[in-house]
Amino acid sequence: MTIRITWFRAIATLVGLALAGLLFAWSGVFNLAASSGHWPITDWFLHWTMRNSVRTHAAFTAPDDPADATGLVSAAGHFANACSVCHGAPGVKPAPVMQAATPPAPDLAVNAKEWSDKQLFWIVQHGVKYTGMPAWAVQDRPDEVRRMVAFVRRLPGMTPAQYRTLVGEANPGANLATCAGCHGADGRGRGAPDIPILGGQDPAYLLAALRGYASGTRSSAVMQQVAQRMAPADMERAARRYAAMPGLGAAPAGDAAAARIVTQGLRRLQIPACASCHAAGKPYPVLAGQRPTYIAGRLRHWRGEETVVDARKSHATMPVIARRIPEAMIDPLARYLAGQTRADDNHSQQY
Amino acid sequence: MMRGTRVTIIAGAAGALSACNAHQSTLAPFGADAADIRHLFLVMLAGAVVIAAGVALLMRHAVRAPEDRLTHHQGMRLVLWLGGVIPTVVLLGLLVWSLPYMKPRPLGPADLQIAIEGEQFWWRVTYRPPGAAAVESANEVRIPVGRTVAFRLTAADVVHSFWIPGLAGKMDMIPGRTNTLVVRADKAGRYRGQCAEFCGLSHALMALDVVAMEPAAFDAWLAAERRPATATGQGAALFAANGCNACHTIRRAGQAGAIGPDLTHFGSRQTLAAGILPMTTANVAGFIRHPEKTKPGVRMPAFPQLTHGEATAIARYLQGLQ
Repeated sequence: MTIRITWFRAIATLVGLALAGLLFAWSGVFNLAASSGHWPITDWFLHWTMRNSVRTHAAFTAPDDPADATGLVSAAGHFANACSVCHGAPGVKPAPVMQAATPPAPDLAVNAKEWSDKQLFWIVQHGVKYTGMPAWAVQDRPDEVRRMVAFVRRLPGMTPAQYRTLVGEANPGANLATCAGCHGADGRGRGAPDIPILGGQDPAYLLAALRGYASGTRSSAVMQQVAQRMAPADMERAARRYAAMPGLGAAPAGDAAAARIVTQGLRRLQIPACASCHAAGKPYPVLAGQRPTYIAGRLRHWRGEETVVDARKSHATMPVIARRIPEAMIDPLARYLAGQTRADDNHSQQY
Repeated sequence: MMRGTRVTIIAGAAGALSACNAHQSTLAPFGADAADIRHLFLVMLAGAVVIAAGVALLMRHAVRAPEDRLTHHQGMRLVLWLGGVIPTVVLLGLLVWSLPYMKPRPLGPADLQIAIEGEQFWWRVTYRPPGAAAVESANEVRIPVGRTVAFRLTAADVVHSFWIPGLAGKMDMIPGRTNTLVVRADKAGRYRGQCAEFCGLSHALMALDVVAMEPAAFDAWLAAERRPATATGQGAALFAANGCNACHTIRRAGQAGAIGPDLTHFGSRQTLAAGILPMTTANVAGFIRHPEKTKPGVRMPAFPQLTHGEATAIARYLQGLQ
């Protein structure tokens, strides 16, 4: 007996299969239980698909400088806060909860070796669907992701003592009850280039920053993780405590061109004077004496990628102003505000 | 009969178009040069209608005429006269008649000069009356009726074009160059100008309020404009605390930013954002917090950190600057 394939029969078969699939899904017979795990072949197929996806997307969309090892302190703090509960950390066991998931969160001391920096960047930035791996909580802080990539790269071989030193807490598994893990007991940010000096800052500004991180109007996955879980009274207490410490307030000094931008602005490039907002009694942060790497890092972050047109970038106050500052003036400006002079600070001829 | 009715309706509708937009129309002039332009246009239009009708009649005649109606010689003479001699005479006549219109209006040393600089996406306006100090303003230009006024046109960033259709023809504003446009308004009123050269994202949102005033009223207004405006209140303190004075001048001690528009008599202007929004407190407050929502690509940064109440207080203060 032969069955002749006609258009009608082919389409009817496809429709019948689709209906059978819907019937199966509707019936609820399919077992979604994590406790049963995957069949080996399903496990292989899903991981194979995931690896291919990460490889292809990382190759095309991850930046060429995916890791930044200069700021491991804040990355370690965030890892302790947000990642170690599932992945564990040197000397810290992962919570059994996520080990009972399908798939379980991998041990990064082993797993990190399997990925390139660009692939790690892509995974940390975007997360992985159907695995429980979340995306970075904000999508516009690639600088934070870069620091995390550098930290994860160092996890294989990191000793518990080294990890504890980075996190700055005696018991890194616990919630960071104080801010001192990253910001230091003295509010100076433990020397990390990406962590601002908080001592001497305006307490109202610190409080507004914490509220901004908690509500998401200030973008930072690292600070949001902490701020969202602080009670209003905790925020006020932390702001007052750090503002009262010594730190900021050093007199700006150095490059004459930078001094001119700070005090008078630069009309030709439509840069308003920094001091018109960043001055005593105004609702903007104190910059005098701030860490120069932090100021320069924030300015560069606001400038964004050169290849993206301004109309697609943030139109908030500082991003607009930062984009007008010549790249060559960013470091002299940061050092001037920090009150640090350097022999090669002389851009007066140029600007 | 039907055709006649239709022509009347179309002609009437075309006439009504000029009435639709009396404050920004080259067909509704309030200045001598725009009146000349409309006169030229109407004469040319009438001539073009006569010629087009003549050509249509000739074509109708040619289609209906029997073959061999004209000899070859007669035909060549027709081409010579209708295609050569008459057009040459008509075009020459039009040229000679219209050349005097191109002569620039004479400008004396006692005439008011107004420097206007086009910037993305607004106008910096500086009145330079003879024998007196300059007066800065922005986004609104006032001129005395019956007096000759010279616009000195420059551009700060890219090419713009200055066009007040009811007053005169358009003239480009070119960075590094000063173009002069001499005009005379003949009818008092409120009018509107527009940037007429693509200059960026918000080119279409770069307009200009124009007020033609009786000479005595203009002199009184300029004297008032020269004086610093004062207003106080919570908004004044917020204006200073948020560094608005780094870019905007409100003529008073210590406020000398010159990056953005002068706001000294902001409250007396009819519109906001270079002729785009009506001057209401809500519009001003909204523009302060998010100018890019009204004008994409605007040079002014957003101030989303201000609360609605703070922005409203600043708006009230600015509107108080009469």
